[in-house]
Amino acid sequence: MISRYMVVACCALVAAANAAAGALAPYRQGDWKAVVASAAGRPLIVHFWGVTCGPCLVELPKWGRFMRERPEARVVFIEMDGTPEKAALRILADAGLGQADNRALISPFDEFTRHEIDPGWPGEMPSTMLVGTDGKVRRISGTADFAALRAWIAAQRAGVRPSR
Amino acid sequence: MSLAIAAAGGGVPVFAQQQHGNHVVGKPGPCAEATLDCANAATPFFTRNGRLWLAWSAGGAVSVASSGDMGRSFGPRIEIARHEGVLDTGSDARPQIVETRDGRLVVAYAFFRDRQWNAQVNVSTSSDAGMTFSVPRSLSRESGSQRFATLGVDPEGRLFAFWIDKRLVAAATKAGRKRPGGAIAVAWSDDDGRSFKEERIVHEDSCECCRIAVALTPAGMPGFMYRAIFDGRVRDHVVQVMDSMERALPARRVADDNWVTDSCPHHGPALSIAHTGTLHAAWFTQGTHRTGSYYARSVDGGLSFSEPLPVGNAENMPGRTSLLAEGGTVWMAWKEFDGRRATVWARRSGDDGHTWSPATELAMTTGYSDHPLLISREGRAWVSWFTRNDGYRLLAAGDRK
Repeated sequence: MISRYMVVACCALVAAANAAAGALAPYRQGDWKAVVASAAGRPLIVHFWGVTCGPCLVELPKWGRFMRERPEARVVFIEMDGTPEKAALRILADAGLGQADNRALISPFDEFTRHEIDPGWPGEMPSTMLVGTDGKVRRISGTADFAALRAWIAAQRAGVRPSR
Repeated sequence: MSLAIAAAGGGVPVFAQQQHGNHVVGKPGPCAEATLDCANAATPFFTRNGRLWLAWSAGGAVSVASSGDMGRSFGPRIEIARHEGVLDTGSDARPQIVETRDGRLVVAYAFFRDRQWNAQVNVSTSSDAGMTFSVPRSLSRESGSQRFATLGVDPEGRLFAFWIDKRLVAAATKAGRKRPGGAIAVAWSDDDGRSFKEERIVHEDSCECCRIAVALTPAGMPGFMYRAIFDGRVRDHVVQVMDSMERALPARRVADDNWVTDSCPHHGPALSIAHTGTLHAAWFTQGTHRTGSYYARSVDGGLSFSEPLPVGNAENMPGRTSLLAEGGTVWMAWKEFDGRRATVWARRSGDDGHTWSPATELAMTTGYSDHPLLISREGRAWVSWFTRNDGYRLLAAGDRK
């Protein structure tokens, strides 16, 4: 019997294998539901960035640091600019994110893609979606406040509802 | 040196699929060819001889083609350049074609030219009404990074270009300092884009990833609008006017939206200037004072702007408003999305932007689409709109559904 845990673990292994093999797993319009479902009741962070986005590149090493300090955090990184994989992989490796769950958008970054993630997201980059244990999605617009992120994870773990 | 890049023969189809009657249908699903049906963005221009030109990016290439029947069908695709994987096809990037003097066409586009992802704006010129185009060359002599170029032509046929330039950021980085954003640069060409002069920075602190809106004042000088950066933090819009090739007047803030963000909105403004001198401006913001798409006008050359008027139905994320002041009329067009359909809307003002008609839905699509762009021909306003599922269309701005 294949439990949901095994499916999730398997998907995580595949994603990690892709990253280790130097490939970005594809992300397409229509995939958001599965991403949220993969959270399986645990807090999940999804960070959207782009190779051509200056503020994104400045921030990425901070995500690398965050991942080192919080190895238990579940974070998915999705590159949205449709640029060649090599460029994204090099940038991720330099930021210390070479082994992260890295994906790349392979369909257009348009309103259809944005709407299914967050109907109120106009597409500014970077943006980060916080998927809570209750399945609700909250958007951080622009660069992240990592102290607030750490507090959010802690609150999610403690089962405390966010005040806002 | 001129290179004949026009596709052989006159019957090469612009689209990979058949035409359905008079209406050219685009191609749904994944699309990787250079033909128009796979376009990321398609930018229109009416030349003096009445032809509609389109410049578009698709499949890693920049191409142009012209239509004699208002966009229902196009002549052969002419490939201007190919930059596989490194063409700038972001949400606010688009190739552009303009006519300078009779029969002289200029195309501009941007691509990423090195491993550091520095961008470069290239220009290509045709002196034979679009039969052949020159090998594209860099617009700027600077080695830095240039992106989001907008071309304009003054009443004498002199070409100018504004773009986002990162030379100041590069200099700061070299000196060990951090500097956000980019700068607004301008340059002029007396020879239809073959060479540029009077290149200068006209504003040192702008958002680095939003288009620049450009319009001509009644005096025939460029007005331009862009997302600026205030105090290193706030990304609100300003308008500037050049009173000569050498000088830009001080930037004027359009509205105090107070959008404090360290991000790339990829969402630049629109500007159109009426024969009365009234500036018509539209922009997007997520400020603390207001969020969404807005319109405002200035009757004093940008010294002050009217209270911002919301554009469209805020629930449906209206974005990238296009503006056109034509004669005594002002048009605005924008796109909305309700979760299922993308729809293009328009409003009309007969009194220089003071009052507006109710919004009219002009067209819809259920797949990928470019932004709607207002363009005029012989006093009539049209909305140019490329869609993957329903092809390219020129919609009469006054049409009712």
